[in-house]
Amino acid sequence: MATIAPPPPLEYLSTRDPDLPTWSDGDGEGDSHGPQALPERRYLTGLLLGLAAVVMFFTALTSAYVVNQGISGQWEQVPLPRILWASTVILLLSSLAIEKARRAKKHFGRWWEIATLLGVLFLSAQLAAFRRLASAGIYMDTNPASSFFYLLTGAHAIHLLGGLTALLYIWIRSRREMMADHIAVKATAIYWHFMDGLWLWLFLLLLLWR
Amino acid sequence: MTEAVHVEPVVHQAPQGFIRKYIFSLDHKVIGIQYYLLALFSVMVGMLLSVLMRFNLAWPGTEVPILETLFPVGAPGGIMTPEFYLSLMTMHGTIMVFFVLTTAPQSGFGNYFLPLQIGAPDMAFPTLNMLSFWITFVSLLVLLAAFVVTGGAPISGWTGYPPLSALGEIAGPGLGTGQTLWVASIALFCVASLLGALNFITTTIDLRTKGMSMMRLPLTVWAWFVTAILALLAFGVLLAAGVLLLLDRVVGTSFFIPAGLVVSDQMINHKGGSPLLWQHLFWFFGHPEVYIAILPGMGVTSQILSTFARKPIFGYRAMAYAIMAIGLVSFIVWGHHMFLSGMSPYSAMVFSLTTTAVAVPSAIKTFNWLGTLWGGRVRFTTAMLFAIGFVSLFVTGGVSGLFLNQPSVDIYLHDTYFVVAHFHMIMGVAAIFGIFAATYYWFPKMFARHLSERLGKIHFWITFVGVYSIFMPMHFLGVMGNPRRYAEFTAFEFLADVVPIHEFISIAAFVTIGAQLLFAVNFFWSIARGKIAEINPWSATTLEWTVPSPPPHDNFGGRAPVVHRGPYEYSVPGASRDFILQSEPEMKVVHQ
Ligand code: HEM
Ligand SMILES: [Cu+2]
Repeated sequence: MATIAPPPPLEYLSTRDPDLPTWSDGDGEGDSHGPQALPERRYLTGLLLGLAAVVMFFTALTSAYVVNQGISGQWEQVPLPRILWASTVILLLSSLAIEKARRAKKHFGRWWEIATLLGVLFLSAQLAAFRRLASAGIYMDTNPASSFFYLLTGAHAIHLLGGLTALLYIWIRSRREMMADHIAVKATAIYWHFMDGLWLWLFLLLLLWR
Repeated sequence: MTEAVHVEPVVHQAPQGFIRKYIFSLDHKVIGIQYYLLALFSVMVGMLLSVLMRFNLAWPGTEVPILETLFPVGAPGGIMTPEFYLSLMTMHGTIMVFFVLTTAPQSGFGNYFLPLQIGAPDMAFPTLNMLSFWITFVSLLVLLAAFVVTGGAPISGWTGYPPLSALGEIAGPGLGTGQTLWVASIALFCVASLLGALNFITTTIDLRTKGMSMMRLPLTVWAWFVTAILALLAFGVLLAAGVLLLLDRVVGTSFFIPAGLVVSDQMINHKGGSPLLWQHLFWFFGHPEVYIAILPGMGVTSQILSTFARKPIFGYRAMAYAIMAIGLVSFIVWGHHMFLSGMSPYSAMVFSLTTTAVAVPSAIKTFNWLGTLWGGRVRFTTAMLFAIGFVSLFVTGGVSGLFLNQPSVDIYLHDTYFVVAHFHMIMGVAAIFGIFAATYYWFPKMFARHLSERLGKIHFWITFVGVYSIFMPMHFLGVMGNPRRYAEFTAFEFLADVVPIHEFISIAAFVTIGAQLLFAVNFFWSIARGKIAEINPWSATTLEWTVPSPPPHDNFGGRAPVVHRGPYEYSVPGASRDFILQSEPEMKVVHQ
């Protein structure tokens, strides 16, 4: 006769067990959980998801731009300030500097510093562009085109400011510790390059879809 | 023989001190309860508003002195003005959709049980989690503040259509500061929801324990996961729309305001915007939003039906895929809210077809629920009753959806009570039944005590009969042409006959809402005095039932459970009892 044995006791793994593939990387760092390990790659997952939300946000703004440009009737093109070309180059260079930093492990700090300063320079250039338009009497509420100009560049600048904060934070930390391989560096680099691409997209939109 | 692995748990202390433990807590369980209480408070406010509305609809012009005391402007002489009615309606809708239906099923129960069910010690980002709750909290305060500012609450509905919502004070009472607060509140809510969604998705992807493959996830987790994806994609768009509307109101841009508007004999100094743009952005968010409200209820229903029918869920994979399909399709149906906006009949046709396509996964889910019940040894606990009630409401509301998704029919029914009946059935009440079902089911885990089953059953039957009495007749009102968003109908000769129906609905509403006191009493009384619950009182299979009630700070005591099987192994032939926990190792057959 075959009978069934009572169920054996439940099986548990230590959260540091290498056999726990999904969420123990054994780095011993956990947020509120002391020694319990939450896997480091959650930062990258979270970042990518955050970027997905940013994409949705700017897609919505872009479609608003296209719709209103098409039907508005009161669309008076904004003369794009020349300085935007300069800021585009600056931003691309800053991305380059970030990659340089990540590769030049020993001179990480030097290159990162350059990237950060270029980031600040980019924001100043954007500000200068605003000033240029304002001095020509073109404000946010002047006409639909100007509203969108300030909206798109402003929304991008705010997102970039977040990235700049991360750049600064890492810069400060890098003076005390080895940062090149830190997850925060990788995440910040991804975010920054993404802001780069986003700017190119918005710039082309403003440039070509008039 | 499998040896149980003995592990030294890495024990560590839960935070001490009231503030870290209960207010600014990082523990997903505390945050889940915070969300739940926020929703409980909100639903009470929302219900109160609906009592006032239903009173006015049935007995317009009746003096209610207390109203004058509370709202001297909105109800001079104790009689509600039509504008005041509209402000109640706006706040009712906004509170219910955002702060109840989006909050309790997902952020409340999801927060509490998602990490437990996948064997994780917490959410992936506890600090973000805390932040999401507190931003939601501030968002609610900002919204409620609209009641007390000059001009009162906005009157533009939960959909906030411009130009009404964009023009400011000149367009009507409540459209000044009140409307600005409304937009700000929604924008904050978007930010909180985005943070929450990001956390839910990351947790599900990265924090599943050993053996917890995607196809072993409880259907509740599937539902929370897909809901979070919808939220991540939809709230970003609503946030964009909210920012534009705020700029129109505060900075003076014209994203949503066309040229040449004249309001109250005054020329409006805006030009070049498109009110339709708002409708597109809003409904691109809005339709996924109704699934954000309902999907967690579907997950809970699956879980409960399986548990109390003592049967595996019928068609687990089909259920998981149906959730994904519903989520996907929900992004291409938004135009069905805009059939009357002047859209081309060809676009209307496309939106009509995509909307009809939603019926397919919905029907799959319904049949699988029925299949789960079929031939089961059903235990009619209160949780089970509410889950079955959920299925009933979902079917009823879904059928009326099939009428509305035909543009030619919708042209007549749009903005009538038929739509009110439809969305209350399928979104409002169904989701509420999901919340109740989840509450009765998980209460023993959260508070280590049972809710009273006797009170619970009385609560269920009054509520079930009540909501059908309230919302079924509204279909007929709609077919008779009774318009929606009106404060009173006495002025219309063709509606003279329906006044008794409105009275009946109002009385049914008062009884049903009154019966919710039973729930409130049951809830708070049982926390202190309810029957003590065992660790696994329902003999259920998922991981949350393997830990003490309430679960310790880090859920599994510094260890991780190992999962060996799917989530619904009930009445497995040859097993020694009628359920097998997900973390139970393979059974051994012993030959004697
Ligand atoms: C499953 C969950 C569903 C929920 C939560 C839901 C919720 C809603 C809500 C809130 C509205 C609001 C209308 C308004 O404010 O004017 C609505 C309208 C509508 N729903 Fe649903 N719905 C669901 C399923 C369906 C299904 C399955 C169909 C069709 C097969 C459908 C078809 C429609 C249509 C066509 C409208 C537009 C009605 C109008 O504006 O005149 N819905 N729904
Ligand atoms: Cu819809």
